[in-house]
Amino acid sequence: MSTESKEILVGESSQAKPEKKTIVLMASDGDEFVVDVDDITNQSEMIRNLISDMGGTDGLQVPLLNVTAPVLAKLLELFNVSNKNDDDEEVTQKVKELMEAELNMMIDVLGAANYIEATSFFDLSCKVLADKFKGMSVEEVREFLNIECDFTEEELQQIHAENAWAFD
Amino acid sequence: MRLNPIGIASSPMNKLDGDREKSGGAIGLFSSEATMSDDVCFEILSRLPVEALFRFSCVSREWHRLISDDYLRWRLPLLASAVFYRCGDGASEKPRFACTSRGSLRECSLEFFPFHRSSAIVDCCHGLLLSYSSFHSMFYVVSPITMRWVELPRPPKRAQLSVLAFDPRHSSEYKVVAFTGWLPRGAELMVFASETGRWAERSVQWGLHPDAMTTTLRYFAGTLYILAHPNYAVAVDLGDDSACRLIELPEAMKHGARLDMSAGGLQYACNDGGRLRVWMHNESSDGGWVLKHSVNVNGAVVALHPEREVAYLRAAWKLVSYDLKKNKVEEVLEMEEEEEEEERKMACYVHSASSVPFMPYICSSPSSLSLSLSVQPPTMCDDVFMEILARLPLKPLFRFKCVSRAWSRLISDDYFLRRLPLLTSAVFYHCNADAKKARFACTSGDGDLQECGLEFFPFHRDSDIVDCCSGLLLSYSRLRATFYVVSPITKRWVALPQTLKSTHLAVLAFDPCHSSEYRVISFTGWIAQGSELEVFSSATGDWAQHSLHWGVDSDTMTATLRYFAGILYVVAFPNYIVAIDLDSMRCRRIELPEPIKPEGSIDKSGGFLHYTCSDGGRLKVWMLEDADGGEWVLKHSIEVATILRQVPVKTRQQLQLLALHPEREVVYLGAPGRLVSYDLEKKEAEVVCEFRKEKEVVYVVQIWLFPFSGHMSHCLAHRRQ
Repeated sequence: MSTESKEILVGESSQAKPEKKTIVLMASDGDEFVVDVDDITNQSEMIRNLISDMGGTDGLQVPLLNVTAPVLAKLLELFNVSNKNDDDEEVTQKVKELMEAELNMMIDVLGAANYIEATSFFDLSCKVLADKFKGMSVEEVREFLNIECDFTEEELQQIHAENAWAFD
Repeated sequence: MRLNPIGIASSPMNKLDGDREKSGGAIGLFSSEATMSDDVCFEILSRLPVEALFRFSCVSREWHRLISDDYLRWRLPLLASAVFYRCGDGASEKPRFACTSRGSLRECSLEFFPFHRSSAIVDCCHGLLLSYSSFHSMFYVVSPITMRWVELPRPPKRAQLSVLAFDPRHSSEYKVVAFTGWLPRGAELMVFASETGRWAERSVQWGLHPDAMTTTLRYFAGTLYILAHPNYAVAVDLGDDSACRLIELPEAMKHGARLDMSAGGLQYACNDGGRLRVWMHNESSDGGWVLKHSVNVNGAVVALHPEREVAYLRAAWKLVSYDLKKNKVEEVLEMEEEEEEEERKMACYVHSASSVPFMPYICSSPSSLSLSLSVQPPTMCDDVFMEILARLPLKPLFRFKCVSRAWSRLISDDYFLRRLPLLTSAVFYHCNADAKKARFACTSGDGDLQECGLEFFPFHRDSDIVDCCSGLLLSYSRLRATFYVVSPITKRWVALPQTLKSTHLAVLAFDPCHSSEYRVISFTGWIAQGSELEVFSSATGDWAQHSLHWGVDSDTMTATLRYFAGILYVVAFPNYIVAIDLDSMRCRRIELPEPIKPEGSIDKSGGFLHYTCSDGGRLKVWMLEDADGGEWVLKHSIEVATILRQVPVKTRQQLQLLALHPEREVVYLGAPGRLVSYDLEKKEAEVVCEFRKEKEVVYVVQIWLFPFSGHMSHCLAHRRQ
């Protein structure tokens, strides 16, 4: 377990306005991430609600028990891209790249985004994955996700017959 | 007393040996040299935490038999469970759950339950949880002890208050009671019984005004007890007759009062101003109450021990037990991250607590409790995975049923299908084409509304589309005098048998939310205030003749009609909707709030009947509050000109009113060549799609928005040609 704390500033304007508020996100392995309040509440509904429930951000530490440090770092990096760009094109591209390069990481990032209720980012990422699946054949999906076919030949034929419209 | 030899091996146990040999038989022991009675084994085993005990049932057949023994289970220490909130600065979070584990009461993780984030705990009863997802409108019963859960069938109505009724001392079956509406002196409710696996609707009469009822409820042995002002407990028998009995309380009910079943009798406890009093109900002496305890102690009472004279109290943010005889206080609920919680000024409020004996039932609940979806990708949880699949178009989605069993199960799940985006279908004409035939468009491919080719249907050239309903088409061939029902989505079609009489007007009635059966109504002749008709039902596969009496003159009926859930609604002059129940063939006249306008549409939105009308100048949306004689409420009234200004494409022509969104506050309007949606809340217009081919102008006649349900893929399956 690493004890040193990593500081990642999300957003670029933190130097211009030194009074910018920050909070600390703690990954499951104890690593700490300092993030700009506006940038994170812009994305995460959970943290937005938490801050309004707590009545302020002073010294707030949010432990994210389900999220490991590498996943959190990646998620914050993507949030950063999303906050910098008004349209979704750039972040969609980054999500695509991540999906192609490290699928398991992408899936973990999705889980983390769902956990902290980053609704619009989650929606966008799900759409990217769905778009990827859309054009795939059944065999390609099995290969892509490393799934074993556990049907018998008869069962497969039956599903084909029942859903013939979907296969043409 | 049972005397069975057991093979258990451990040395300290040998000491207990001597004790038992006097009273009982000697039996086969841990090792071959020593012997021990079942009784002693019981004593030892009953001191193990439940988790360890059940793990040890794998040790040997003997151990398994002993641990499965009812007699042992009755002797295990009681389990405690509690629902509590953690609050910071008065803002409440979702309820959490704690249960006896490794000997002490601590918070249970519900991670094993895939919907723990998207649903909220609404009730807890003797160690089982009732969780409700308002997003999916589904109930789940969860057993945190055995880590099992089950999804209940879709409830028929919306619940206002839901209660879980489970008493492991009494039965292994559980019930979920959901109150759906209040009567002057009773309530309407729906009850799910695990025994039947179905919801049943009932009403109860408890003789008190609903305002008198509190939400302090307890369930024991088939009876639900509800505290009511000023001084009553209502006992509702959840058996078949739903009989209610009023029990008068010993004094006017105080805030924070509790009912419990302890030592076999009904107990009433309340703590006002630091004095805790406990009464016991004496059934034999004419229902009198006996004051058993009156002690000075702080804290709101949350439960009484079912066997001993112990009260559980909530003090500050701890749960404590208070021995009423010994006047001794003990802390019960252990908060794991205690220090941290304190720093954050968090408090914990115990909402309800109960103690239960660990019964075989909890672990051998209905087999359906072991429902689980294991999707292969290692760390992707079902929730996330479902979100991805729900964004796929229908075709690849249904193709992926072939990927694996887990995928197939997920995609066939009705609950999943309900989450797919709504489909849109439309019937339209190309106005200056030579043959002015109706055509059909449906959401497909990338989710856009596109014209569907009907080439798969061999008679598409020599028949005409005469009606469309929720994605199914009714087509009629004059040449063959035959009706066809066609599903452009699943590319199936069926020819109906010949009708007896020739048709004047034919209507297709299909509601995929309601049933996979469809009906075709062919009007064969008009009489002064009714009509002769033939109805084809896909359930019987044949036509049947009927006559209708609709209570208004036949020549006042318009062609504005819609079908929802068994009822065909027709607009009639001057200000009526005639609702034809296709099961009973009875008609009901619903009066509209104003004379009908040139354009109108009947829709179901959010479960309520809506009437939308436009006279060209103003568009109004009316909602019928209660289907049985309720009032019409004007929900929206908008100048058509303001919508026209919003339409991104310039059009000087009239907008034609088509439909209302079944879930959201959105109207669909037809402009020549395009379909426009207008959000009544955001006041924004959007072009949904354009049907424009070269110089042709397209008129949309009809559109439908509907969910893809299992009914959709099944409705023509059994009669495939």
